[in-house]
Order: sequence, then structure tokens, then C-alpha cells
Amino acid sequence: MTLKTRLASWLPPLLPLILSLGAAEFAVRMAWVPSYLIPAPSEVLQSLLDDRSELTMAAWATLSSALAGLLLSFVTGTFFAITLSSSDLARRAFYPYAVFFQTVPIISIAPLLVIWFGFGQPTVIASAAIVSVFPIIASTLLGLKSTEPSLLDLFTLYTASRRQTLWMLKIPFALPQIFSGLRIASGLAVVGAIVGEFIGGGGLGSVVDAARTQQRIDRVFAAVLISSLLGVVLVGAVNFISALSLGSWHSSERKS
Amino acid sequence: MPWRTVLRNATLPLELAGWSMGDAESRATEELRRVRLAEFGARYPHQLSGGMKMRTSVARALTTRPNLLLLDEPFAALDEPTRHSLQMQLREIWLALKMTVLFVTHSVTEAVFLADRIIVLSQRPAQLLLDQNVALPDDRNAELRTALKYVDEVRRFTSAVPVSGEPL
Repeated sequence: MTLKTRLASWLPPLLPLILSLGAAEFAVRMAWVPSYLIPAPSEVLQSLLDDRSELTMAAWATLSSALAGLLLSFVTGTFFAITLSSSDLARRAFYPYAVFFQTVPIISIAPLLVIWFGFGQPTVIASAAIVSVFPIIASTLLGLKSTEPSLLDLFTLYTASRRQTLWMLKIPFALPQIFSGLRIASGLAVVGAIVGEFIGGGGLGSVVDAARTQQRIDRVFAAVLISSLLGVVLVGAVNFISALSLGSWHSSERKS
Repeated sequence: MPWRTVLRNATLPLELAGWSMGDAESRATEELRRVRLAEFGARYPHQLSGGMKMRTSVARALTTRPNLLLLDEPFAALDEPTRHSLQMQLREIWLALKMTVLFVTHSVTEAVFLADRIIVLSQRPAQLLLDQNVALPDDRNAELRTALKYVDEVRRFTSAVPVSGEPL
């Protein structure tokens, strides 16, 4: 890419950002908006710089909890989806509860998690895992159930075992859906980790909570900004793995 | 299967049967050579033409050296030159391996060119209309397509199929 085309691809999304940040800065400087409601972007930047060591540590804590929660929900969710896909009876028996589980608001069971797991990381990880498990179950199940019938026939014809059919056909076929579930789940895992930290303590969640009680709106914004970036990083990591494993064959990741 | 290369698609039946990867690959390569795809082993299906995909699945079917090959209108979606060349290749494969091939087609010319024996079925409900051998020699080449004896055979089998007034 030449500098010109690079600029052409970066400028459109950057322009609204620069304009809105400039407008916010201007509005706060002119005292149209009280700075205890919306901080000037420059104050947020200052806070990012001043508290960088604390924010970095908090971000690491949140990221590692979110990753651990995502891993946990990926393992249990995939296992669950495979079990449900292999038996109609199991699906009828358990899938409604998976849906029900999804509708339980995490904020209301977070206190329960503290009772069960105590203050600290286990609660945060559990919270991240609970909010991110359903998209993984739902999309993996969809992927496993939508195997091309003619390929299933081929495997039946060659008397493939159930395990062979699962590993050599159904799972590869479901990979695009598995990754799309993971993408959704990785954003949610960060949300779940921060909700868990509000109540269980630690990480960016605590930073936001503490800054709020100290009326440090600039720090709240700085922490919120970083937590969104964490989500972007996780989704980016999933995209990277997805491109690696699907790049050679699936049309969604193909370049040419 | 779109995520496997041509070679891996061809080894699939052997992998499922528990062959070692080395043995499976050498057998699959042999069959790919038979369908003239040996140099395309590393390609993925989306990089192949329709005729090449068809040849890949024929190679895959041949890896287990079956006694019976069932082909249901395999060349119907291909253009005529490709279809003709695949018909010749199928004849070659059959001459080399001599398995029974049950080939379903709607084309009388294709049937006469390929077959030793033609069974004509009627429309629903399918009834046996005709079961006759084709009076043509084993070596069938491109010249045969315009030879008088070929045209005579085509005429014989065409007239055996009643044209009904009913729409298909």
C-alpha cells in the first residue's frame, strides 16, 4: 500500500473521531458542558498518562480474567454444543435451559458469585464465562447441525465412526460459525469481567468504581476507553486465528 | 470437502478405513494421476473447475478400488468438450480397472458412447423399457462419435424410447 491509499483508507473513519473530539474539547472549554459531566478529551488523555502504571496493571488484570473466562466458556460451551448436537433428546432436554441461562442478567447474579467464589479473580472469571458462554453454544450448535447432507452421506457410505464424522467433518464444517460465536463471546467476556470486577473487585472495574466515587470523571472515561480497547484486542485476536485457520478455503476469509 | 486439498480429499476414504497417511497418499496420488490431476494435489476445491472437481471425486471413489462405481449424471453440468474428454477418461479407467460402472444419464449419445449395456427406464413409475448390449468395440475414441455404426446405435436406442406428450 502506498501512503496515498493508506491515507485514503484511514481518513474516513478518523475524520468523525477528530471532529467529535474537537467539538467536545471546545464545548467543555467554553463551559457549555460542565466538566464534572463530560471531561475534556485532553483531561482524559492527561489522566491516561498520569495513571498509566495503575491503568496498565488494571487492564492486564481485566484482560487476563476476560481471557480465562473466555477460555472456560469456549471449552464448556463447545463441549455442551457437541453433546447437544449428537442427541435430539439431549437438545430437547437442555437447550431451553441454556436459553434461560442467557436471559439471567449478569449484574443480578454477580453478588451470588461473590458469595460462592469470594472477592477476587475467581468471581471475575466466572462472570466473564457466564456472559460469554451462550453465543458459543448457540453458534457452535448451529454449525454442527448444518453439515452438508451430501458430505454426511459420503461419511456414512465409507462407514465412518461417530468420532471420525465429528472430528473430520462436522467440526471443520462448523469452524466459521464457531469463530463467529467466539467473536461475539470475546467482546462479552470483557463486559462480564468488568461487571464482575465492580462487585468482586480488581481490574478496570474497580478503577471505574473508585474514580466514580471520587468524582474523577476523567479517570472513569480513561478506564472505559481502555476496557473498550481490550474488547477490540480480543476480537482482533479471534479474527487473526480465524484468518489463519480458514484463510485457505473459506470464502469469508479468502483474499482472491 | 472445501477445507481439504485435492490430495487430502482423495485420501479421505482410506483415512476413514484406518490406512496410514503414507500409504493413503501414495494410493491417492496414483488415482489422481489416473484422472490427470496429479499436479493439482495441493490445490483447494475452490481453485478447480467443475470438471476437475468431478475428476477429484472420481479419484476419491477409486482409492478403495471398488468393484462397483455408481455415477448419477456426473457430467450433466459440464460443457460439451469437457464432457467428451471425461467420457474418454472414464472409458480408460474402466479398461484399466474393469469394475462394474452403473452410470445414470439422460443423454442417449452419452450412454451409447460409454456403455456395454444400456437399460432404458420409463418415466414415473419407472418401468424397464429396454435392456440391450451396445454393438460397439471396446476401444472408443473421438472418431467414433461421427462413425456410422455409432450413429446407427444411437438411432436404435433413441427410437426405443417413446416420446410421450406429457411434460417432464
